[in-house]
Amino acid sequence: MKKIYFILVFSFFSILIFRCQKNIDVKIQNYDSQPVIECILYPGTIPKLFLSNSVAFFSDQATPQQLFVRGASVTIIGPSGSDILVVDSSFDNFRCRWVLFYKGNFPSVVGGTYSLTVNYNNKIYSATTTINQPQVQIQSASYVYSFHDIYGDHEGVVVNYNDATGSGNHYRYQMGRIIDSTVYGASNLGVVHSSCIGNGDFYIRELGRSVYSDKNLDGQQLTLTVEPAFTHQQDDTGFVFIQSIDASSAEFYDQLDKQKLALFNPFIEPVFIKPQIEGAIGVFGSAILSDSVMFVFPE
Amino acid sequence: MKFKYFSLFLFCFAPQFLFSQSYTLSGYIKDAKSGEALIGASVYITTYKTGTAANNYGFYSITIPKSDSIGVVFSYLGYKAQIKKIYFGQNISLDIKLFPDSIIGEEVVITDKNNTDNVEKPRMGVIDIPISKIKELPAILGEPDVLKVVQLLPGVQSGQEGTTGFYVRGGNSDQNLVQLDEAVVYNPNHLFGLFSTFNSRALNKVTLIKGGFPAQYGGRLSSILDITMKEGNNQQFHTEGGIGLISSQLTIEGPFVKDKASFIISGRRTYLDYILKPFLPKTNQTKYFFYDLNAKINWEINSKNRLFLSYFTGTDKAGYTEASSINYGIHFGNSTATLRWNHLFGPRIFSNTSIIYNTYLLSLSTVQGNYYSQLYSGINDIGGKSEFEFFPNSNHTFRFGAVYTFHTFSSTGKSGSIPTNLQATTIDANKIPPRFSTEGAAYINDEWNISKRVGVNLGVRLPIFVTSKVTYVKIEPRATVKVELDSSSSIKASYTVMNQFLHIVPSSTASLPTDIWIPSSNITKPQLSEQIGLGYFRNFKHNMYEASAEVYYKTMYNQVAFKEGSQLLEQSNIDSSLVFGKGWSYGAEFFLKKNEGKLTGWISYTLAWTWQQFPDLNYGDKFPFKYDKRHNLSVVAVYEANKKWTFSAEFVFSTGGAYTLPVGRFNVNNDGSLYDASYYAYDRRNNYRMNPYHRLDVAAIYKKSRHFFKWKYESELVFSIYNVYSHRNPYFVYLTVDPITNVAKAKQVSLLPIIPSISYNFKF
Repeated sequence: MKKIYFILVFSFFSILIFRCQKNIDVKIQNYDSQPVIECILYPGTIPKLFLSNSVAFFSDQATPQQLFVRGASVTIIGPSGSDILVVDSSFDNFRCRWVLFYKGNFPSVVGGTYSLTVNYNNKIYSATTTINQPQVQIQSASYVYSFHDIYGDHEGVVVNYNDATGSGNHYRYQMGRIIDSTVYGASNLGVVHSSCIGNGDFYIRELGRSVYSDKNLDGQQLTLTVEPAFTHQQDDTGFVFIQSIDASSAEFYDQLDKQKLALFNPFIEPVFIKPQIEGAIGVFGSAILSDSVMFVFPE
Repeated sequence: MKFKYFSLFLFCFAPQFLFSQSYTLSGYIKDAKSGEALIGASVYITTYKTGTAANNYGFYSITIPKSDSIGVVFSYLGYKAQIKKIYFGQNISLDIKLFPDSIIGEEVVITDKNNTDNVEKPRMGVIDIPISKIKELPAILGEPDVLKVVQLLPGVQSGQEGTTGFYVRGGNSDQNLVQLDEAVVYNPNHLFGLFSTFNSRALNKVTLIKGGFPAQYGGRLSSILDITMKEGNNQQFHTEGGIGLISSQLTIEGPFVKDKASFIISGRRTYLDYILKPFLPKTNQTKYFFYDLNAKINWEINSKNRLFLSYFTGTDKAGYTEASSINYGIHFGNSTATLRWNHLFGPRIFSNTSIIYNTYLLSLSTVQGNYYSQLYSGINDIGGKSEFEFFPNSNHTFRFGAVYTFHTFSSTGKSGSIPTNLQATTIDANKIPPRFSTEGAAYINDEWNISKRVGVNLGVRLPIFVTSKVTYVKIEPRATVKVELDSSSSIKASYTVMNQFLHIVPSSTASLPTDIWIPSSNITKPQLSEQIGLGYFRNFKHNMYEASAEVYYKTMYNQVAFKEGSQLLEQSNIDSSLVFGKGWSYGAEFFLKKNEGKLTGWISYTLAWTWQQFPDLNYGDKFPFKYDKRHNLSVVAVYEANKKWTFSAEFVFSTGGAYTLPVGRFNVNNDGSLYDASYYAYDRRNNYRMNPYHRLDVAAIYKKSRHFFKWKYESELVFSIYNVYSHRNPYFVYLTVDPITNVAKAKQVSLLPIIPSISYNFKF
């Protein structure tokens, strides 16, 4: 009996030890920073290019201001000639911070082919895009109280439109709204900093994260259901667009979407972001917007 | 091309040996005390300096020219050899009973003739695992485990810390065919792989084949782990048991009819759930248990017919439902049943016909943070096998036969964010559309001693796999050549082609078992490997020491992996979530083993490289396999100090496994949209290495004869310490990102520190 008691007591203490864990820091590998270039041309709009540096994964540099690249030579050559972009900024009301970017002078035009050159640190990064995507027409935009997709359960804006004839078309959702400081971000974007903007209204542009392609659906009616990025009240209005985007942009933003999902969901395989611009991260692309449809939130 | 192979084969095996004036000596070799078959026991004809070995049922047959008398040595490691002088003017049937080393019977003659198969046999990449040693080696929580010993062999890599998963010559875990009495065991693990499902007390023989595969084996690319259960003592009743830290076990065996029919039944169950329950808070519903049961009956109907019925079942159930960010529930298990009929068509032809049923189930539900994952993988196999062994003379051993299996797969999975009502819909196994397939093969193999010094093992296997949409017919040539340099050394070379029609889709992220088995289809092509090997084998000091050095190169085609960013959805076809590529592995393996004396054991060292390349992963560039471990060293020693005390130790060292971490971060600032975030920049897959793994385990066994009332029994107290110096070996690495500063940190988690344990075994 004494032996059995001894074995049981011994077992218990062994199990306690067995449960121990210890965290150990991992050795950090060297990393050479890369430029991050993001520029989508919209017809009728002056080019806006975001240029920043990537940093080593464990770096303590993190904010857009810290990572913004100054002193680069940025040129876009298109039908209107050579457009030299210069540093400009706008205020992000939602996050209450200044956002830096390079801004051009000439609005982009449909059918134009544009060549981008970024000269930075004695290295040249270049890419080309042509604004020739088909413009689609939205047939309807409605509201659904709840639907479940890979991102979770949420309300949604349902948009119906017809795919343009010809395969290889890519689309994403856009909504423009005027909001005020009573509005919250629907995901993890947090709240509007009313201390920053007071009680005034401001314009926001929501871009849907998912990219939709017409693979195997050429010329058919397509339906997107998209979660609104910000909270709303009954009778709030917005304007819904469908962007037709080029293949490079579609691939880049699709990878971003999937990687973001993989970062949240531990059961999804990690996603590598493949370069669309040689030597750099990012994309130089273009999009054509559909005509807008006014949308009224029913609740 | 296929016809050419077949013609060549027929030419090589023309019946040049049909019978001259010769007779056959045949019979069974058994343990004198228990009647258990001594698989692989050696039969050596001193008169002709030739020999053979007992097969998996202990049967041997050798045909040699007529002679007035012959001298025969019957031997088996750990047993006293017997020398017989036999008048040889006719076919002779002779059953032999060998006594263990510790017992000397009246007719036993001691000889120094030991097993030289490793040098003389035209086979390579084959290792017999000594069952008797398994119980003497240190074990986690006192549970001796055959798969833990497999991990200590050359060419075998272990998986994660503490697990019994093994990876052979760069192959994935699904490329190992683990079969128990010929039935496939799809998941041979308990407790997330901490222990195997095999209760070592119920096992007779374990053989690992990792290259130079004979044609009777197929269906997997990298290894065959052939496990044979004990038949049960047909001389007297025995009870054997053990009380360990987390489980106890009991084995009962004995004769139904002495020398004719026997049984063995062996069960094991954990009681961790009962031990922990009083110490856990009510909110924590953690529970865990596993059990397994082995049973076998054999019946010798007459001298030409024997029947065997084997049954195995093992189940794990675990749940962790504390109100925190990580919850899981898991239920998995295997069951197998095999009915076998041995028949002798004569002294030279042995046949075995089997009906085999096995089933496997994995049901897993996991929650981490706001996301859940559910997996269900079910397999039902029913099949048959008919095999023949033909011993025309002492220079040839033919094996030929056919195998048939009907598979039913029901596999699916899904993951996503937890719905707002907190009720993720569960997978209804009855609604998973089953996938049916048929797998078959025919084969022929000849082990041919061309001369005293040169031997070959030639074979061909023709597998076929049929689904509703596609049929695959393959051809697998197999060849091993041996050239003896002298009586104690040889060089060998082998070439094998293997196909595999079943696939596990590995997850690179999850640390829980996520093995979803799928069959080949028109999208997922069969896995294919080609392997060449070259080895030098040498024995020393009258075979007290065995040494070998082998090099190999293996290519593996049609390897599968999940697409980047793929998310399992219940309605999606798993095949469409996969990408396909190739792998290749090469390396050198060194093995030195001491078989006899007070100190026994082995040293094993492997130097290996394993790469994979998928057009759709890692920018299309090659990357190291997850279990690419450059150096693997195992040192195992057992010292029998005296009749009462045995000490043992094992030391393992291996390079850390590969895993993927991002090397950079970048921001996307798209006008305050949902894209805004910090994203990860990866340079290549498996770009980081875990810290090297090393560990020392020790054990001491105290044996004593005791009495329980009037019954005498043997007792053992086993003291063992796992990870003596408590090295923090890597288990997995995870990332955290500070939500305020956005700065990332990586953390490495270690699982098993020093674990002392004690267990008590008894045998009546």
